[in-house]
Formats: sequence, C-alpha cells, structure tokens
Amino acid sequence: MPDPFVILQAMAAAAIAAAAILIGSTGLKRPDDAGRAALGWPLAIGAGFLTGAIALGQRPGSLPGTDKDRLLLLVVPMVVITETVLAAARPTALWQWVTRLAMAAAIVPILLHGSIYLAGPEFNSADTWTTGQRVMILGGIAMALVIQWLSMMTLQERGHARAVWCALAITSIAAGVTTMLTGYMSAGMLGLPFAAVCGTAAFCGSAARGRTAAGGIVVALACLGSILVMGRFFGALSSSRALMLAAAPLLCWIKECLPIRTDLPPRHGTDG
Amino acid sequence: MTMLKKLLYSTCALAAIGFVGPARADDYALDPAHAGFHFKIQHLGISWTYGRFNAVEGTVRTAPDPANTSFTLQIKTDSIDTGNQQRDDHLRSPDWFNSKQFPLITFKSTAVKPTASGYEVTGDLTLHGVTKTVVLPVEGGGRAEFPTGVQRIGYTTNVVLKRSDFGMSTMVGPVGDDVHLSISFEGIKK
Repeated sequence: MPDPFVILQAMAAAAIAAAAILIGSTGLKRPDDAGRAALGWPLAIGAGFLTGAIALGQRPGSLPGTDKDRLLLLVVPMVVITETVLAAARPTALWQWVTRLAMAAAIVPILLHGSIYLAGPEFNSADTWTTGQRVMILGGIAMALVIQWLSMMTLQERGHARAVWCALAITSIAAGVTTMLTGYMSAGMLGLPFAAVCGTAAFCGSAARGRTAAGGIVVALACLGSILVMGRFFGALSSSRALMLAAAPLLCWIKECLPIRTDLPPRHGTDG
Repeated sequence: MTMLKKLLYSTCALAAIGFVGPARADDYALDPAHAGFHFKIQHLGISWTYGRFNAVEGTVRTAPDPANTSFTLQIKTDSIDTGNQQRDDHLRSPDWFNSKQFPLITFKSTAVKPTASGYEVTGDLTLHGVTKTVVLPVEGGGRAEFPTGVQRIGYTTNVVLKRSDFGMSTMVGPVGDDVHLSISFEGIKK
C-alpha cells in the first residue's frame, strides 16, 4: 500500500515547485509581461508533475523501457518544450494547432511503444492491434485530446480559468485513485501530486486567465490523459471509466451553456 | 582373397551402422495439462502467498549425450493466478510483471550437465525485460508411455530467484524479495 505521508510530501513538493515558477513568471497579481507568463505556464505544470513523481520515488530508468519511464523521460518533456517554444516563437494559430495535433498523435504511441498492442502480427496475441485498430484507437485518442485542449482553452479564455483548474485538480484525484484501485498503483499515485499542481494553478497563478495559460492547459491535459492511457492499457482501468474521467473536466461547460447565461456577453479577462 | 575379405568386413560394418543408426535426439513438447509452474512469496514476513501461471509452453530435446539436451520455456505473464482477482490485476500491471509490456517469461538453456540426481541446467531467463543467467537443479528425465503410443518425459526443479534482480522492486520489504519457484512438467514426444 502507498504511504500516505509520502503522498502528502509529494503533493507539497509538486505544489511548491509549480507555485515557485508560476509566481516567478506571472507575479502575484496580473502579469506585467504576458510573454514571460506564457513561458512560465508550461514550465510550471511540467516541473510540478515531474517533481511530484520524483518525490514519490518514481525516478525513471536510464532507458525508457516502461510506460512510466517514457512518460517522465519523453512525453512530459516533449510537451513542455513544445509549448515553451510555441510561447516563445508565437507562430500563427494554424501552426500552433498543427504542432499540437502532431504532438497529440505522438503521445499515445510513445506510451505504448514496445507493448503487446503495437507488436507485430508474428506475436499472435489477441491484444495486438491490427492496422485499422491502431488508426482508430490512436487517432481517436489524439483527436479527443486536441478537442479537449481546444475546449478547455476556450473556456479559460471565456473567464472560467479557476473553474478549469479546479476541475482538472478534482479529475486528477479521481483519475489517480481510480487507476490505483484498478491495479496500477504507481501510475495512479502520479495523479495525486498532479492534483496539487492543478490546485496551485487555480489559486496561485494570477494569470490563470486569457491566452497566457494556454501552454499550461496543454501540459496538464497531456499529463492527465497519459495517466488514464496508462491505467487503461497497462492496468485494469475499464474503457468506460477512462472515458468518463477524461471527459469530466468538460462538465465546466455546463455553466457556460446554461440558458440563463446565453444572453450574457462573454467575460474576457476576469476570473471565474 | 584378402582383398575380398576386407571388402566383405567393410560391407558388414556399414550395414551394421545403417541398421543401428546414429544416436538420435528426441523432441518433446510440453504438455500443459501436466505442467505446474507454482511460486510462493513471503507476505509481511509472517506468511506465504502462493500462485501459479496457467499458460505455459515449452520444448525439451533429449540426447544420449546430456550436454546436447536442451530446454525452452515460455510463460504468459497475464496467466498469473493467485486466487484473488484484484491482486492478479495488480500483479499484471507495470508495478509487477507489466504483462502488456513484457508478456512472456522465457527460459532457454545454454548448458546441461549431468549430476547425481539429474541435471544442472544453465540458461538465460528473461523476466520483466531483464535477461539473466540462472542455474536450475533439474531432477527427472524419467519416461513413461501413457496412453498407449504417447511417449512422455518428466522433469522437476525448485529454485529461488530475487525479483529485484529483474527490476521488480515494488514493495520489497512487506512483500519478500525471494520468489520460490516450483516447476514440474511432462513433455510429449513429437
């Protein structure tokens, strides 16, 4: 069984790491430098996630031989670096989304690399995917991730930033605990310090609003999605539970979609 | 006349060799119905948890010279069975066997030496993606015919492995590091 004291320590370490970078890049009030804030968000969320993992004792091996190693060594750094470069280079929206689409398409194959799912036909296992299944499953997850990025960024820009990060924190706890209870303890544990990171982002990042935090949303949803993918494909998390948990943050849209709010103008630049 | 005698002896010798033939190697396929791959591991230092693998394949090649005898085994990690579904799900996860990443445990013998009680079989054991050389004290080699026309051979071995040597270090302490394996199987002559 996991040690609750170690988990609490990891949550504290992850929150402190994220808070330090967020405050350093965005300041305690409104950011005076939007560019610096945009750079700080992906770094803060990624650093918080990795700090939490290390504090849990989950140091990756020197070779990325397992899904968890690949998450910590490849996926999280890839997403953080890509979002940091996008924040620094500020390409057009089209190029941003083309880059993100490519990144979304790469995440799950990286996590499943070398596994029974992507083994050749010579392996002769019922779990091995055919080419059609690969296209459908990998493509479907990549598209779902992109849609989720887009929808949560839009919601954040419409003034519900705090609600978005709170939803991500709650979903991370739920995903972590569910993954742990369905047999993949160490992957599920990653969700708990990550929830602390998202909670920190909700209350510590004064710039948890507008476009500056877009990179943070991308990194956060990539981390959350990775935990669910690992739980589903390497643990015993069922597809229905994984899908429900993945879709849970989208419930924030209910507030936006309620008929009573349809006559209100969009609220830019204010906190939700 | 001497020449004729030599020719006659040579012909007889060749005929004898042809009749008896060279010593043959026999191939056997593991009989899953008569194979047991059991393990036990300490829990909290106060009791033992027992389990087994249900899906096993393998081959045995026997030869008159034991050095030419060979063994191969393949165990499907997702066939682990400890009698508790929740624990089995956890054991299949990357915390333990990582059965989706490392679906097989394999053993391939590299050297076989006869001993007083059987064989000392050295081979490469791949578990959890890590390959290490292990030595198995194998007993048996007894043969039987059952049912009529089906030739069988049987072997047994017991060995203790450290799971941490194979990168399986989850919960070392509460759950023992030493895994006691008990393997017994029959092979059916092909």
